[in-house]
Parts: sequence; C-alpha cells; structure tokens
Amino acid sequence: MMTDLVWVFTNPWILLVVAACTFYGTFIGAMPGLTATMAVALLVPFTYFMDPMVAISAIVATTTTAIFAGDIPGALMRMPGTPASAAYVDDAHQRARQGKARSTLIVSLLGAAFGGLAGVTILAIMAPQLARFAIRFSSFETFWLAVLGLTCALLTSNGSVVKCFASLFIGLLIASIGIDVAVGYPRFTFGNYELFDGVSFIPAIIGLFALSELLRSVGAPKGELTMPSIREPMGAALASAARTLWRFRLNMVRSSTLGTLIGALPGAGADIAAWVCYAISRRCSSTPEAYGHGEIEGIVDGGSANNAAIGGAWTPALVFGIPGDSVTAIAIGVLLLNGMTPGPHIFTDSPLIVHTLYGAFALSNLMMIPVGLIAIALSSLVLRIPRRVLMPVVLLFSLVGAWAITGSTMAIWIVLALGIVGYLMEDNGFPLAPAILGIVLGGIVEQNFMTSMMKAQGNLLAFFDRPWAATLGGLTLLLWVLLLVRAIYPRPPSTPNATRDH
Amino acid sequence: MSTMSARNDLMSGLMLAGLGALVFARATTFPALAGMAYGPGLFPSIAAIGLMICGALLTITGVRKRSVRVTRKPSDRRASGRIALLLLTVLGYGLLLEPLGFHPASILAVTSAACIFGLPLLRALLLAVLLTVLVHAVFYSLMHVPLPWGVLTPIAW
Repeated sequence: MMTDLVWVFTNPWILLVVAACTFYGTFIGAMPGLTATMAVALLVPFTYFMDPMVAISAIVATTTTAIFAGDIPGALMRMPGTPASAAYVDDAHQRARQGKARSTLIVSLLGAAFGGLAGVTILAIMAPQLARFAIRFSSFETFWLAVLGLTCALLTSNGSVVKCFASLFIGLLIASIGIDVAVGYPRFTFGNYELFDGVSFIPAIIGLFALSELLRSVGAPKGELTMPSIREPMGAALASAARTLWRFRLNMVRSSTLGTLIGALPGAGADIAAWVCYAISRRCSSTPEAYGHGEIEGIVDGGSANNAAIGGAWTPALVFGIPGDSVTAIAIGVLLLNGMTPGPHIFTDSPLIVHTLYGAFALSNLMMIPVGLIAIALSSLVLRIPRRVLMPVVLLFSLVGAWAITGSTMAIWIVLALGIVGYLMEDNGFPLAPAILGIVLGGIVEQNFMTSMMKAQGNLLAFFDRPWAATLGGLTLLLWVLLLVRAIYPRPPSTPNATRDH
Repeated sequence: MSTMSARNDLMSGLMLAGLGALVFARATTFPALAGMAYGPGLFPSIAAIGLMICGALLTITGVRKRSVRVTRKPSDRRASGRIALLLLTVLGYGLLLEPLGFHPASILAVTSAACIFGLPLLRALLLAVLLTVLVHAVFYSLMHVPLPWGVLTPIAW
C-alpha cells in the first residue's frame, strides 16, 4: 500500500490533474448555484479519455474542493455555493458582516482539510475489513444491498416521502430503458438502436444536474451582488483561525468521525452530514443561543463534517458497489465504463485503484489548503464573474462533453430530455438524489434479482434462505415499515433548503 | 405559496399517474421468461405501479389543498420565456450540429445563450467565438474527439 501511495504522490499526471481539479473544484464550488455534483458531471467527459487512476483522482479532487468552496459565497453573500454549506450559512454570513470573513473562511478551509483527511483514514481502515466479509456475498445478498441502498436514499432525503418515492421510480424507469438483462428484449427503445444499450449515463447526469441548473438560473430573478468589505489582513486571519480550531479541536474530531459515518450511509451525503453535526454541536455547546447569529463553533463542526462525509461516501461504493451519494454514483458509472466493477473483489483484483483513491484524497485535501487560501484572498474577484458570461460557457461544455461520449446527437437529446425532467422535478419539490441512485442501482437490482430467480427456479423464499441474505432482507423490510410510518405520520421539516443535491 | 405548491402537486400527480399508466400498458406486452412468472416486464411494471400510486397520492393532496387560483406575475412569464428560449437553443444545437458542423453551430448556440442571459449581442458573439476556439482546442486537439465539421469539411484539419 505504501509503495502505491508513493506512486500516487510522485506520478506527474496525477499531480497535474489533481492540481488542475483543485482549482476547478474551488471555482465551481464558489459559484452560487453551481454544485459539486454538477462540477463532477461536467468533468466526467474529460475523465472518459483518461486512465482510470487519473480519472478517479480527478473526481475526488473536484468534489473535495467544491464542497469546501461552497462556503465562500455562503459567507460573503449568504448564498451557499453548494447545499452542503447551507447548514451554517447564517453564522458564516453574520461573521462576514462583522468583517471577519477571512478568518471564518480559513476556519472552514482548515476544518474541511482535517475532516477530509480523517474521512479517508476511516475509509482506509473500515473498507478492507468490510470487504473481507462482503466477498462471500452472492447475487441474493447483492440484491438486498442494492435495495437497502435505495431504501436509505429514501429515508435520508428531505422532503415529502411520496415525492422521494416518485423520484426513485422515475430513476428506475430510466434505468429500465434498453435491452433487458434476462432475455435481451428491447424495452422502451422505440426501435432506436442507440437506446439498446440504455440511456447513456454521462449525458443523463449532465442533463439532470447541469442543464436543469442552467434552466433554473435563467428563470431566476437577477439579484444585486452586495458583499461585505473585507478588513482582515490574511496573516492575522490565519492566526485567529488557528486559535479557533485549537479551541474547538474536540468538535473537529467528533464531527469528522460522525460525518464520515453519515456519509457512509447509502443515500446520505455531505449536506445531511453537515446538518446533523451542526445540530449536535448546538446541542452540546455551552452557547446554543448564539447559533445562527455568527457562532464559529457550528462552522467548525459543519465544515469538517461535510468534507469528512465525502470520504465516507466511498465506503459502500468500494465495498458493495452501492453508491453513498450522487457523486459516488457518478464515480461508479465511470469505473464501470472503464471495465472495473466496484465491489469486494476490487480490493484483491485491482488494489492499485483503491490505494490511488486514498492517495488522491490525501493529496487533494493537502493541495486544497494553499489553493483555498488563494481563493479566500481573491474571493471578491472570483464572485464578480457575471452569470451571463459563465452560464453560456457551462452550456457549451455540457453539450460538447455529452456529444463526445456517444459521438452522436442522441447525447444532445438525452441532455435535453433529462434537463427538462430534472428542472421540472426540482421546481416541484422532487429531490434528484433518489432518481440518480435509481438510475445507477436499478440495473444492479434487476440483474441480481433475475440471476437469483434463475438459480432458485422462481422460488421467492430463496431470498431469505442464506443467513446474510435473510438478515439484510429483514433489515430492508424493517426500514420499509419505518418509511410507511413516516409517510402516515409526517414530521415537520426540520432542515429547510436541504432537499437539493450537493 | 401553499396554493402554488398545491396546484403543482395536482399537476405533477396527474402527470406521474399518466406516465405510470402508459408505461404499465407497454410493459405488460413484453414477453415472459420461459417457465417463469418474471420477465423483462417485471421491473418496468413495478416502477410504473409505483408512479401511479405516487401520482394518485399527490393528486389527492393537490385537490385537498386547492383553494384560490393563482395568477402568474409578469416577471414569472418573462422567466418562463427565457427558459423556453434556452431549451430552443439546445434543440437547435442538436438539429444543426451535424449538418452545419461543430464551429458554426457552437457559435450560434453560445451567442443565443449569452443573449438570453442578458449579454449584449456583440459581446455575446465575441464570447462565442473565443469559447468555440477554446472548446476546439480542448476537445478536438487535446482529447481527439472527432467533432463534426459539417459545411466546413473541405477546410478540416
């Protein structure tokens, strides 16, 4: 493992790509409305032409930095750059208005780097252990795991249960387009041969996450940019941030650990981790009344939790091939396109990719510190880039990127169709995360169901025959009961603005 | 706000239920697996039934909450117009990309998009030309994506 890590840290291609993606992720994350998922969606056409090791490093570096950089417009303009920054946006903005923007942002930068490093350390310890145990799983267990993943996506999404379900079914429906796995019958292709392989994945996510965002942006009223003036010199801000972090070092450790674990739940991503850790921080704090009015303690917690969750989200992705959030869903798609199937076998078959992933996490969290400091120093300049210039750029890169994947205009039609679907869904309060998990997991669920059914010759009870299958199946059914209870007795929404993807 | 969301629930409920019904009708025509109750139609049917149930539930909440008709504000209508124009731009790009070629189609699409977002025409055109050159360099020269040349095929390099 050490030699692999040294290889990552000295591989010029990886260093170059990680450095470039650190800047790219910081830039996209800092733009209000451009999310980390969208940054990855736009990046994927490029990774298609890269070595899989480099591709994974690029995805990791982009998400890591984009989640941090979402704090920059959050603090300066009270507009979280990514939904993962929404939990503590009021505190950050209040502090910025008191002239403490830089020290606040440095606190969240260093907290994020700490959280990210803690997240990948926990991932590196936890994942191989889980894999050793998951290697005995057959199609029955994999089926239940995938169903469990879909169920968790429903449980952790905010918003109405009915709309989460509807979003999931839309995703499953999109996944079922193309030749079916059992008998090779073309479904919903309308005789179009290009759809036989299914809806091309990369154009689909570009449509859902990039075009839908452009449509929302063009429909939004034009707001005036008002930014508080920055009065702190960088040196003093750095010193004050370091003191704050030392004072709240235990919060940082607590939220990094918890954030990783929340991220490891399938379906729960960085935004949920930030909300939960912020809430816990408030409950444990000696000054809970200051939260929401410029308290730095919650920023330490939320800022480290959301970056820790990124590492955690890779646990189910690597071990079971089941994505932890929409970014890892995209990453699994990229690995599959490169002929690698995530799952317990990846630890023995291609350990280099796993170690590259760890290395890329460590590298990008370290590189994020200098790049983040530059971004904080120049933040007011970055935020002045007008939307009317930026958005056409995003549009052309979306369309050409999608076209590059299929080499035909079918890609443009997929982007257009799913862009409309994504826009309508978000505009009407349907979360997108269950849909994207449905697209990725739908095929896995169906394939393992059909394989199992052929093995068991149609006996449904075979799904509860093996001990682990029975346990996982029982757990899934239990969660369904829980979901039903929640649907019948809805609780008031406790975390507003968290329905969007990060 | 609540009347707005109620109306949307009604609309999206009806749309989802309709979609589910269409998919279900189609999925029942799929052939079954020899000697088994499950075939290619199983998963689409599950998704379709799910959509019909969700659609029905949303329709019910929408009907229950509906009270006053909401009139769209003029700014709302202008926003919808801009959204429609942007969609038309993407549609046009898909239609023109291969016959016209990557370069003219991209210049047209970016100019149109930039104007929709509020950039003056000349600056939009400048942005479009610069951006097309950049995308050409990145995708065609660096990544070797075979971008279509269309009408410019005689001068392709």
